[in-house]
Amino acid sequence: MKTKVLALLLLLCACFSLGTHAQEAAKGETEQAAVSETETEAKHGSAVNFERSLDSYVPQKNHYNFYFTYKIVHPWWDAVALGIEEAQRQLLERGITVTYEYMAPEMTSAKDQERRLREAAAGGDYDVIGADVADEALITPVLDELSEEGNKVMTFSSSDAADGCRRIAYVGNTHNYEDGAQLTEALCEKLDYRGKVAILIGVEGAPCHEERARGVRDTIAKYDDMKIVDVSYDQDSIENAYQLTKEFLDRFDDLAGIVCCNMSNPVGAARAVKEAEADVVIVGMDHDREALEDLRDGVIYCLGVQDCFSIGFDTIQVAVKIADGQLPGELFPEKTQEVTTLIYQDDAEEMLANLYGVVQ
Amino acid sequence: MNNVTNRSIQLTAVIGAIIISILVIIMSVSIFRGASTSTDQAVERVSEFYLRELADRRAQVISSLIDTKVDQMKRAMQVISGEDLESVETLRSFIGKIQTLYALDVLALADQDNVVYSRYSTYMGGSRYDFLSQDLTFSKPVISTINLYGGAKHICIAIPVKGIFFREKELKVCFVEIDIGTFAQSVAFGAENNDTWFGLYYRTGENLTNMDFGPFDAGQNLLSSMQDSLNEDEWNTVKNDFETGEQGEAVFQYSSDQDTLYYFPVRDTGWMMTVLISGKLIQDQVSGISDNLLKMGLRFFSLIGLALVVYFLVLYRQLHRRSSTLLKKEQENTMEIARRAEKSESELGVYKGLANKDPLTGVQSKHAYMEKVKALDEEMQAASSFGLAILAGDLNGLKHINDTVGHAAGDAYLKAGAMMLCRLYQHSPVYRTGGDEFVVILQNTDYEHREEILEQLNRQVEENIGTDGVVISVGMSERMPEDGRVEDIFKRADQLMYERKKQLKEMGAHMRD
Repeated sequence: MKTKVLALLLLLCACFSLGTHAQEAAKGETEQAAVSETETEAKHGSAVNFERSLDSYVPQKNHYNFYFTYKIVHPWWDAVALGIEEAQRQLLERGITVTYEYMAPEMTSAKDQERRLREAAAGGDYDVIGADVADEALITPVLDELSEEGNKVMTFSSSDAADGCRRIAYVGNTHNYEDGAQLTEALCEKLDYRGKVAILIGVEGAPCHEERARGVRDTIAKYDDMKIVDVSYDQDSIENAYQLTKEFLDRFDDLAGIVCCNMSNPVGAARAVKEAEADVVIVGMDHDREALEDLRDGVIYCLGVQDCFSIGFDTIQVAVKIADGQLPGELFPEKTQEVTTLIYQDDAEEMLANLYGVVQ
Repeated sequence: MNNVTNRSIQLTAVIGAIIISILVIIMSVSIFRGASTSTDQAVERVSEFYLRELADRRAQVISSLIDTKVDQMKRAMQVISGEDLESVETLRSFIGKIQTLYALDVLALADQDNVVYSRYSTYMGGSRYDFLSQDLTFSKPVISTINLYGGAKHICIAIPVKGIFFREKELKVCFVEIDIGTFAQSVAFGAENNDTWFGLYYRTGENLTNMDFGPFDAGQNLLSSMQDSLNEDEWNTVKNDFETGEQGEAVFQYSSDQDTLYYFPVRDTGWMMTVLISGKLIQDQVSGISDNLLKMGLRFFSLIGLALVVYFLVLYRQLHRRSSTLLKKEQENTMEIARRAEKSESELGVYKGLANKDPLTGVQSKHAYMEKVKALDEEMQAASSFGLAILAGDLNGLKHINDTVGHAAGDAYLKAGAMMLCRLYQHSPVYRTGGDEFVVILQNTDYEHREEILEQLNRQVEENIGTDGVVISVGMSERMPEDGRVEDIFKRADQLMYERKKQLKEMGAHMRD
C-alpha cells in the first residue's frame, strides 16, 4: 500500500512537471517534449489508481453540501462519480457527512449548465459549487458572477474555465491539447508518417474535445505526407460515431487512420472498421470497456486513459478545503492535474481486469 | 492301513485349508472390485444429487433475498409521506432511515428525468443504470448489475413506483444496490470448501461476482474458458443452456482434475447459479469410507484366513496326535495278540509234545511216527535219494507176562524193550506204534551202522531167550530206488520181522499166544 501511495505521489509530481510542459505546448512551445514525457508515463503502473486515501487534512465541519454540474450524462462522468463516492465514503468513516448533487443534461448545453449553476447559487445551501465547464466563453462569466456573489466556486473534471476566471481551483485534466497531440503522434508513427486521417470529436465547443482536436491538427500538420480528410462531431454518441466512420470509409478508400477525441468516438469507429474489415488505424480517448476490448483485440491501436477516479476523489478533497475557506497553496494547488496515460494492446488485459474485472 | 488313513486325513486338512484360503482371497478381491464399481456409480449419482441440491438451494436463497429486498422497497414506498417529500433533505432523511432499518447498502429513488435520489447524493442515473431506460410498465423487479472500478460490481434490484411526486416530477423507480461482496456473503456462496465452488454468471458467461470460481479467475468468462475443455457439441449445449436459461451440467477437465459443473437459472434475474465440484471430492469421501470398509473387510477376511490356517493346523495336529495314539494302541494290541499267540503256540508245543510221546515207555508215540512218515514222504518226493531204513519190531511174550505176572510186569517189560532199542539206536527216533509194536527210523549215523547195530540187537535178543530178558523180533529194510513212500520200506521190514519172529519161536522164545 505504501509503495502504491509513493508511486502515486511520484506519478503526480511527474504529471505536474508534465502539465507545465503541456501548458507551454498549448501555447505552441515545446509540444514535442510534452508528448514524449507523457508516453513514458504509460510504462509506469496502472493508468487508473483505485486505492486512493484521503490526505491528512482535518475538515473543520461535520457536514458539507456540494453542487456539481458537468457537461452531459455519460459513462465517463459516471467514472468520475465513483471517485466522488469513494471520497464521500471515506469522509463518512471519519464522521464527516458529505451530501452533494451531481447533475448534467442529457445533451450538452452551456445554457442548461448556466441555468443549473444559477439555480444552485440561488436556491441551494451549498458549501461549494463546481462546474465541468461546458462552454468556456459562456460559463466563465457565470462562474465569476457567482464568485462575486460570495459563492465558493471551483471547476473540475475535463474542462477548466478561461484563464483569469475567479473560480478558486480546478481539479482535472489540464492537458487535453497534449492528449490529442500524443495520440496523434502515436498514430503518425504507426503509419510511418504518411496517409489520410479523419478526426472524430465529441461535442462542438466542449473545451476538452476542442483542445484535443487542436492538438491533433497541429501534430498532423507537422508531417508533409499526412493529411486530414475530415473532421466530424458525434455529440458524445456511439451510434453517431459509428455512422460517421462508415461514411469516412465509404468516402475515402485509402483512409489510413482515425483520431478519436472523446470516449464515444473510438467505440463507434471500431464497430464500423470491424464491420467493414478495413485496415484503418484507430487511436482514441478514455476507457470504455468495449474500446478496451477492441484495443485488446487489435482493432484500436492505442487509447489515452484519464484517471477519472482520481479526478472525482480529488474534487471532493479540494471542495472540502475550499468549503473550509482554504485557498490554493500548501493544502492544494490551484490546478490539481490528473494524469492521462497512453495504453496499447499489451496493456489492455491489465486495464480490463483493473477497471472491469474482466479476464479473457 | 493306519498310515494311509492318517496321510489322507492330513492331506485333506491341508488341501481344505488351501482351498478355503483361496476362496477367501477370491471373495475378497471380488468384493473389493464390486465395491469399487459400486462406489464409482454411487459417486456419480451422489455428485449429481449433491450438485442439484446445492445449486437449487443457493438459487432459492438468492431468489428469497431478492424477494426480501423487493418487499422492503414496497413497504418503504407504502410508508413514504408528504413530509418526506418536502425537500431533498427530508427525502434523504427518509431514505437514510429505511436504509438503516433494513440494513441496505444503497436505497435510491429515480424520477422521470432519471435523477437519482440517494441518502447522500442526487445524481444523473441515465448512463449508469440501464433499467432507467427500460419500459417502466414492468411488473416484475428488474435485476441488473453495474460495474465499478477494479472489477467490483453492485447488484441493482429495481421496482416501479407510481403516484409519488418529488419536485413536481413523478418518481418512477425505487431500487437498492447491493455490493456483490456483501451479497455473496449473505447467500454464502463462493468456495464452500476447497473442492466445491459456487458462482453467479451472466448468460454470456461473464462472472457476476468478483470472486474466483474454482480454477477460473474472477474475471474469466466461464463459457470461453470452458471451450477448450469440452468438445464442440458439449460446449454448444452449455452455451445454449446459458443463453436460454436452462439448467444443465457438464463434466470437464480444466486442470489436472476432472470437475463437474452444474448450472441453474436464478429466477427473474437472468443469472446462472453455478456449482463446480471437484470429481475427487465425493469420490474421495465415498472412496475413503469405501476404502475403510474394504480395509476392514480385508482385515476381516485375513483374520478369517488366519483363523482357518490356525484351525487347520490345530486340526492337523489333533488328528496327527489322535492317529498316532490309535496307531500306538493298535501296535500294542497287535503285540499283545502276538505275545498271546506265541504263548498259545508254546502251550500247544507242550501238548503236541505230550501227544507225540508214549507215556508208558517215553519213546515217540504212534502220532509222532505218523507225522514223521508224512514229512519223510514229502522229502522222498522232493529228493531223489537219501539214506533211510526202517526197523519194525514186535515185543515177544507180552501177553504171557500180562496173563501170568500181571500188567505191571507187562508194562515193565515194554519199558525194558523200549530202553533196549533206545540204547542201541542212540541217533534215531524210536516209536511205539502199537501195544507191543515198535518202529525205528534210521538216518545218518545209525543208518550207516545199521547192520552192525541190527546184529548186536539180534545177538542180545537171542541171549535173552534163556534169561527171560527182553525178546523182540525185528526186521529192517532200506529205502530202495523204486520206493515212493515210507510205507513201501515198512512193508518189507514188517515182513522180515515176522520171519524173525518165527526164528525166535523156534529158538524157544515166548510168543503172543
